[in-house]
Amino acid sequence: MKNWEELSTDSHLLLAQAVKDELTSGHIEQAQLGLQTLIDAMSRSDRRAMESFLTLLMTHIIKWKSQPEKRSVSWAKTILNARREIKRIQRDSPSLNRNYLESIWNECFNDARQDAELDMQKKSTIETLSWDEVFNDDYNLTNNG
Amino acid sequence: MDKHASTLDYWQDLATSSHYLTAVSIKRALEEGNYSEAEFGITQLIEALSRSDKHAVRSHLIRLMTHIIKWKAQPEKRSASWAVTIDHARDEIRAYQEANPSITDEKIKEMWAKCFERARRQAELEMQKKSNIDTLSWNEVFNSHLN
Repeated sequence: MKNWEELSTDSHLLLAQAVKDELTSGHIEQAQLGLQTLIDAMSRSDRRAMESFLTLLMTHIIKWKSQPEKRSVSWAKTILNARREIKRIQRDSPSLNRNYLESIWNECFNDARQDAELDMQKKSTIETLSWDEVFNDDYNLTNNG
Repeated sequence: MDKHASTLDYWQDLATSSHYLTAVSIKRALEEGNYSEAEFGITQLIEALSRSDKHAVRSHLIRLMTHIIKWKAQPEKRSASWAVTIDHARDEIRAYQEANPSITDEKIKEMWAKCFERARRQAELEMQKKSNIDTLSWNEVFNSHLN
């Protein structure tokens, strides 16, 4: 009997290879168990990635709004990239939709605020961020976003 | 198109666009007793996962080299944040190598020149000046001390 949970912490690839071994040996039940572990592990890592990208995105928007004099191409790029990554993950895992994002919103905002304050070495005056501010507003150097 | 070829195409497309949905579909195939479908699926998933591990290593290597170039080219701008980025990228690459034995040091050396060119362009863009660093050795990238 395989310890699927233990395998799943190593890598999705190793886990998938173990599933294939079970499958080609005709151990269908084991293969099914392994697949479920793989599915769970993938959805966990997608959720973790979503949290990281949302926090990163919010951190940069807080900095953008708090320190207009320090706005840079690199901040704008980080914002665009994080939005893109979030869309890609959503394409892969449709259950990580707007409802899901809203469910982790406050926690990510608090983390983002802390990160931003650490980077700026000052308190942030921004108390909330709206959906539009995070996902739709333009942040580029030409129109003062 | 024969049945094998179309099945292969189907799983290839799916595995390239979403690992998660591929795993879910393989499980469904198993539940429905379509073992040969499931085998096609898991084989394509393994290939896709292995490709994306390699792709991830390539991105980490480019980011690592970019920061090493900046570190060498702009000693006056060295920061804790650069050191953290370098250290983190080294850890990530090692972790991918541990989990995926097909990503050997040799494989990484094969991507070296291309990654270096991209890193150099990226570093020059960020520094807004030409870099005079023409090569990076394995030691400089993976072992040099940052302080």
